[in-house]
Amino acid sequence: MFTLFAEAAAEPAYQSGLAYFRWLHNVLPAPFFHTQAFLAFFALVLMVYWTIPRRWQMTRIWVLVVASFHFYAAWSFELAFLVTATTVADYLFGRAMGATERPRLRRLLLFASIGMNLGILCYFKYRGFFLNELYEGLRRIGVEPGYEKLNPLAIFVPFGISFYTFEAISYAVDVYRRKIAPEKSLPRFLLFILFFPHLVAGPIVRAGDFLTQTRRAKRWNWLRVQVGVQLFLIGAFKKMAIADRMALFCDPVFKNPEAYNSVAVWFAVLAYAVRIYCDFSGYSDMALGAAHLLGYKLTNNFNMPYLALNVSDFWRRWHISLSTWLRDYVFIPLGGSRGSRWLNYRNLLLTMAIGGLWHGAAWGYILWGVAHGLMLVAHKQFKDYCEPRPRLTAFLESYVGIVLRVYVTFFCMSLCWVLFQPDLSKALAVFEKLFHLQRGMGLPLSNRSLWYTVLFLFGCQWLVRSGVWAKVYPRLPAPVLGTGYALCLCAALVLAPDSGTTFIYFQF
Amino acid sequence: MLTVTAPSRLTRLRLRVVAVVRAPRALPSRRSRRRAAVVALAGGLVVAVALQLATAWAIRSERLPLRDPLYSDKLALLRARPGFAPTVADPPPLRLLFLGSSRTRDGIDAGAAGRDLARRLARPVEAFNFAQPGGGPVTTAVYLRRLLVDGVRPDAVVIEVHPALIGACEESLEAQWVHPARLRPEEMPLVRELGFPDRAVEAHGPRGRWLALSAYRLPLVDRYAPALSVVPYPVGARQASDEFGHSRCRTVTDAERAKLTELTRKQYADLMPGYAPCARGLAGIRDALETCRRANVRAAVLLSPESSAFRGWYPEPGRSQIGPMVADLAGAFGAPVFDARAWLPDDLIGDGHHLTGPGADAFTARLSAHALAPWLAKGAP
Repeated sequence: MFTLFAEAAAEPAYQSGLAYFRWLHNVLPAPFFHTQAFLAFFALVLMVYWTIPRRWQMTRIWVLVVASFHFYAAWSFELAFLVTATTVADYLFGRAMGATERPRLRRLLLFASIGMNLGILCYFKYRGFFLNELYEGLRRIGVEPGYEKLNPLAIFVPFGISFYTFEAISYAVDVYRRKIAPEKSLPRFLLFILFFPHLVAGPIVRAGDFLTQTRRAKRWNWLRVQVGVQLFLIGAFKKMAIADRMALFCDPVFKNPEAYNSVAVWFAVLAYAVRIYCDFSGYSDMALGAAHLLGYKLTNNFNMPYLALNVSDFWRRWHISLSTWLRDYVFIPLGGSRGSRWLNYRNLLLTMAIGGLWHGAAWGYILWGVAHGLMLVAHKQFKDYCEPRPRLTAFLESYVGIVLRVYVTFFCMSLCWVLFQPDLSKALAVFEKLFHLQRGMGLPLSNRSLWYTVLFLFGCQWLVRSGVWAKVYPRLPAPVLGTGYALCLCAALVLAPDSGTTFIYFQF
Repeated sequence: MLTVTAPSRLTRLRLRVVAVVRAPRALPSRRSRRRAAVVALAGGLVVAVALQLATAWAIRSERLPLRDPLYSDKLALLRARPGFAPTVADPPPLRLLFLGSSRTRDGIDAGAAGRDLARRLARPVEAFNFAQPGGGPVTTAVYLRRLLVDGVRPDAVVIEVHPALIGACEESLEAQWVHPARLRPEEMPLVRELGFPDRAVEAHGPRGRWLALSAYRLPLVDRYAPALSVVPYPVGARQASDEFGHSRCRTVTDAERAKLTELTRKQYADLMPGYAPCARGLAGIRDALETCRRANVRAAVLLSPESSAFRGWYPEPGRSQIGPMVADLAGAFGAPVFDARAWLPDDLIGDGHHLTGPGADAFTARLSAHALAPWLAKGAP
């Protein structure tokens, strides 16, 4: 034993640190909520967190900060240090902004904070894209770029970088606008950015919402625990039983659309729409559930988006934390709905294009954003067209009209998801297969399973949307509810395919 | 009874729900809601753990046929045969089992073989095809032992040797097809000894006990919720074979045959370049023959038909070594070898080694008449 210690002490500090993080990486190889490793990690955090007496509030916060750091460091300790360092810098910028009344200095500090965050985001996420586009552009006009083209797949993008960058920017802007006071406590601020339930894939929390919660003493509350467990189970079910199964239908086709026939490609488009929703909203539900178990409430990120009546409604229901962020920090500063109609359309298009670019550094994502912007513009035009036509409005408000609107919106959204991938040529190949009937392989899977899943999903959402669930749920006896939780967990375990996939939104 | 009309715009679709629960008179107190939350959470945990443990127990004790559905389903079919039923007729029929891979399963119509042999031997014969897709020497050895343990007492067994599988000396190709979760924990030392890689099987460990619903999810969905299965065909053997365990393949066109043969070539492409039969590859067959000798069951070895293209893929000298090596092994146990590799023309073979329906008819007739009948007549019990 002594020899072991002596050898360990003889090692340079950074090496022992590396060994520790290597061990951590083996224990928790990826920050995915639906893995056994995460559940063990989370159980440990919960135990330590709630064992600490309520009056030691700051100790609890430190426990969460350390746990969050380890959660990220298990995947990449270098990046965990980077995120922590930038968070500390954001904290200092905020404090400095609060300490001065000089407008120019405050603005300078704001730009420094935003510049630092966007600089890091661009370095990791957009460097490859822009350098490659520049490379192609220079080659096209006959100029030798003087550097090698980068392989986009080899570029290392930290998990969740877009999420915590936006959180940090919103904090700096809110402090600058004096909407919130700069946070004085470093651990509280660290927790705001690093809080592991929302660290890697959101929801994008606002400082005003979160930091207030850190000041409240947390009590163990069984009702809250129930809500947390319920959300976590629903999220796990969405991810494991639906999203991962749908991946079997869409992943092979989206990887190689040329090989498949048009019917298989249409099925893949439908499956992808279901998959991306269940994947991301499943993650968000798990994040919300985990946060509830620790006594925190995060923003609800989804509200049955596929029952949206139009594209505008869709964006009020899909990735709500991002859409509200874009509204508050991009759309409104650009001018929002003020000014002429064309200015409004320009703002919409720009905002949605930025939203697309936020998702990924590729033309596919940008076009996806632009397509949504165009649809929003088209919807506004259509709304204006309907206003003086009461019969048309009445039809659209009728049962048939509502079903038609939901269907058309879902159809448009599903088609837009085709663009939502890094390789634009694949997206174009998918579109070609969709609208130009072609032969090819069929999917060697049972389509029945896909249809049942789609029906189940829409059925559940319909129950909630119609208000039936809200009336039935409070009347359910506790044992029935408990059995429901058990069945939800068991169904997630049984229906999960062999090849579990990672969360789509982790790459953003 | 309470009629609930939901208030949202969507409910103008006249969605009316009759709730069968009684409306509460007043909002429950915080304390009672807290108690209900605890009951729900604790109840959920208890039910979830109980479901996992009950499933694990039912699977391990084989009350649910989920560990190896292929074996369990076929055993159920076998037990339904009068000749293999626990109480058999007097005089008992001659019970003949075929063991091997999908080649045998598709190629031998055990029902027809039984009837033909009964006529030729002038006594009742109950033949059953227990061959399984992906079943090579190791599966044969394991299944034969299992059958004997499960109380199946055949009088004679025909053991197929798949030449390609006895050439996989380094890493068993069969191990890629037979998922280790299908094996019983006590069978693991045997399969390792017979050439399977030393792999930890999650289903045999704590995962199989505490997370049985996850460990056995594929057979569970396949059997109890097939509508939710993404696999378009059943995993179990029940729907895939007739009452004698035989699966009849359809006839194929020349174009289809060429395509299927190409797929087969790709499937065996890694194995063929350095092919040579070896003792390690034959270990499973040796064990099966040894088991037969110990159980006093007569055994014969079968090399099933292959197309001329398939036979051409074996490189020399491996190709020439197959017959003598198998004959030497069978000879050591006094078992005859039925070398049927070149018995059928190519147009009766679908993909190079699986017989079409007419091919199975022709092969079964020839095997019964020229191999099985003389062999069984020689030392009839």
